[in-house]
Formats: sequence, C-alpha cells, structure tokens
Amino acid sequence: MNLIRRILSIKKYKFMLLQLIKRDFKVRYRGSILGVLWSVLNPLLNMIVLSIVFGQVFKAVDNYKMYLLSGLLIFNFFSEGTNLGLTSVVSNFGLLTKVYFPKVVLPLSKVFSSSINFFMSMIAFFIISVFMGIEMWWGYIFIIYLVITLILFTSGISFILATLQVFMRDIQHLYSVLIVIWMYGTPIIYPIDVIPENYLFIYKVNPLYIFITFLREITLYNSIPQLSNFVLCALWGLGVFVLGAIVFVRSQNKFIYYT
Amino acid sequence: MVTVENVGIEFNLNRGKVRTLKEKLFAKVNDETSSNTMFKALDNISFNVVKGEIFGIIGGNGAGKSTLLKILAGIMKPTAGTVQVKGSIAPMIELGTGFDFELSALENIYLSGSILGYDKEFIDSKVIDIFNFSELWDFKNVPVKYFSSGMVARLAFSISTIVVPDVLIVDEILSVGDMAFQKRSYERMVELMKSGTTVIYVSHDVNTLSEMCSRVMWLDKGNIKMIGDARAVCEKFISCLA
Repeated sequence: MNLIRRILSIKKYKFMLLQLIKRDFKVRYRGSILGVLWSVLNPLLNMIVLSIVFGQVFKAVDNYKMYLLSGLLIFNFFSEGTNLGLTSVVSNFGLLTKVYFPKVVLPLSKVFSSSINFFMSMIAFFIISVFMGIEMWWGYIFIIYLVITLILFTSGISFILATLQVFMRDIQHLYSVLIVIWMYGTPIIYPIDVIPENYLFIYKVNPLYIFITFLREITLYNSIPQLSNFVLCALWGLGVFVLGAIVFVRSQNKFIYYT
Repeated sequence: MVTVENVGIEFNLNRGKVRTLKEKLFAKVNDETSSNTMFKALDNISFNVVKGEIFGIIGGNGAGKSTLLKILAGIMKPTAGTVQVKGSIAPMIELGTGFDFELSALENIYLSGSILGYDKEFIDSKVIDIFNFSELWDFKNVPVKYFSSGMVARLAFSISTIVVPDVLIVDEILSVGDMAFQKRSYERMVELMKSGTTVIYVSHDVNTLSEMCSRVMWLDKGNIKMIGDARAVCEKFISCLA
C-alpha cells in the first residue's frame, strides 16, 4: 500500500524530474561554444591521451584504442553519475527545507542527466568503432540490456552515497579516493591477463568489470556474452538499486535535521 | 480542513557538532556529546482550522512558528502527535523555490512550478497570467541573474500565488517589491482569501493579523499561550510586550 502510494507520488513529480534534468543540461553547456559536442569530445580526447601513454606498453591487446574507449565509456558514466548523485541531496538543502517533494527525485535527476551524456558518448563510440574497423551486428541489441542494468546500478550507488553524505560529509572526500582506486582496479587501461591468478577472483566480482566485459564481448569480440554475465549484470543492477532505494527511503525523513 | 493534535517536535542541540570518526569510535570512553541535549521546539500543540478560515499565528523569535509551518507543509515530521490536512496545500515559506539564476524567467517558471508540484499543462496555462501579474514581459528570456532583487521577488510571488490551493500557508512574504507591487500583492492575497481558500498566516505585524484573521494563535517558546478571537489575542500580545 505504502509502496504504491510512494510510486504514485513520484509519478506526480515526473515533470519536476524532467525539469531538473533539463536545467542540468542547459546550465552545463551554457556559454560554451562547442556545447553538447563536449560530451563526445571528452571521452575521445581522454582515450587519445591514455592510448599514447599506454599504447606501447599493451601492444599485445587487439585494437587497444577501442579496448580503452569501451572501458572508459562505462567507467566515466558511472563515475560522473555517482559523483553528482553523492552531492545531490546536500546541495539542494535549500529546497528540502522549503517545500515537500519526494527526495529521491534529486539523485535520480543527476543519474539521468549523466545518462544523457552517456548516450551521446555512446553514439560517438559507435561512430568511432566503425572507423576503427569494427562492424555492427545484430548482437548490438543486447547493449540496451547493459545500459538498463548499468543505470540501475549507478542509481543504487548514488542513493547510498547521497544518504551517507548527509550524515557524514567525509564521504565526498573518501569517495574521490575510492573512485581512483576503483578505476585502476578495473581492467580499463590494461588487459585482465596481466593479473596474477590468485588475485583474479577480486576482478571477477567487480561489477564494473562485469559491465565492461559485457560491452567488450559484443563490440570487440563479436560474440554474445555468456549467460552468467547476463545474470550478473541483472543481479548487480537490481540488487544495488533495491538496496539503495531502501537505504534512501528509510533515512530520508532525517535528512532535514542535518542541513 | 487542518487538524493538529498534540504535536510536538524535539531537536538534538548537538546535531550541529559534526563528530569525526575518531570521536565516534571512542564515544563510549569519554563522552560529553553523547548525552544529547534535547530541545523542545514545539510541545503539545493542538488546534484546528475550519474551511475558509484565515488563521493567524504570532509569537516572538524562536517561538516555533516556522517549525510549525514546516510540519504543516509536510517538510518536517513531528516527533509526537498527528497532523491532518485535507486537500492541496501550498506553502509560501520562501519565495522563488528552486530558482536557478542561470536560467531565464520563462525557464524558471517551469522549474519552480514543477518543484511546487504542478504539471506541464497547468504551467502552460498560467504563464501568461504570471507575466501579466509580475509585469516582466520584456525580460522573458533574460537570465534571472541579471534581475534586480525586486524583480526576482515579483516573479517569485507571481509564481507562488498563481494557483488557488485548498490550504495556503503564508510566512510573511507580502513585503516584496516596490510600493506599487506591494499593494497589488496585498490585493492578490485578499482575493485569494476571499475565494474560499483556507489560510494559515504567520506574521509579526499585529495590525494586519487582527485585521485579516478571524482567529489567532499566540505561540511562546513552543507552547500555545493563547488562542481565540484575533483582536483579543493581538491586544494581549501587545500589552505583554509593553
């Protein structure tokens, strides 16, 4: 009953969610000449820099540039979405103390505006991949599955971080270190082969690695990901989303006392 | 319309003290902060407001007026008691809720309106009224950051009062803009009140309160000191100050 009422109340605020996303989008590119092109250029330039630095080291990797770009594509979205989600409640205390609305709209709007960015980068990724000699095939349809589970996962983590940040402002600083560790702990710029056998299990449970592998299987290796990979994506996505939503909803009434 | 029963709220006076991880871990050993000093901002408040009534609230600084409004608006949950509000409620606790100063006047109408819980069709139908009332047609597409503070206030007031809610909560916002606009905003408030909206009105201005309200509640340090006929309560309030 309570849950149904909650969902209905969020539906009423769908327009607010839309407006917040629009606002983010407008403010982000206001005054910049290239505007939305930056969403495309940023990961590309990033890839070029990294491929110049590491290209020689990892010569053995086939199509290293695309290997790198596919990892960066996923990781950048996750990193941006969670970082914005983390501060979403704290930076909107002005609103929270003045008007009632479902607070979950705040982190959601940030994840969705990062998603728009993600879609742009993804289009760029596909265009570049054609130039790099990768052919699209019907298996690309499964990327939709990947995107949905990844957005769920990112939202879930954002809910948890946003909640923690309200009660302990240290989280922001801790997370900025954690995200760097996470980046280098995920096979984005190096192949998984360089990892010693006994540490491999840590990499195998890393959700970001699971998502990245899913994308690489389809785009780089022209194969449909293993069934286990499908299941893991869904488990991580749904599991973290539900967990995050519970954490957030349970503590949202206390937010106002920690402004 | 509005029924408030035995409402109380407590704040932890130590909540501002952010404790470091170390303090948290060793809190059990030597601790002054864990003995939480609780502060009762509101204690055992009960009243009801009937449909169409204009209900005033007065009290000195820190009497708990704004806290009570926040509880009524659903922004805060009381630690004791219950609040029942029938129908839609529009809190005017702050003007310009959710304004983004980088965006234009028109964009802010949609943003602010959506945060107040209105949908697109509704705002579409009100945009003209809002610009007419605020007289900001010439600045439709100008970012709000270039507005004078009076212009921002006019835009904000126009957005806030464009709907006729079932219950309107007002926290001293009539004093915005220049004299001409103050007069018009006052008229708009009266118009709203006459249209049958239930109003809960918080103010320091005793004259306006006794003039506009039917009943007034006097809050003092979180307790009801007096509740009843507007004129009687206001006179008592003034005599107490003197």
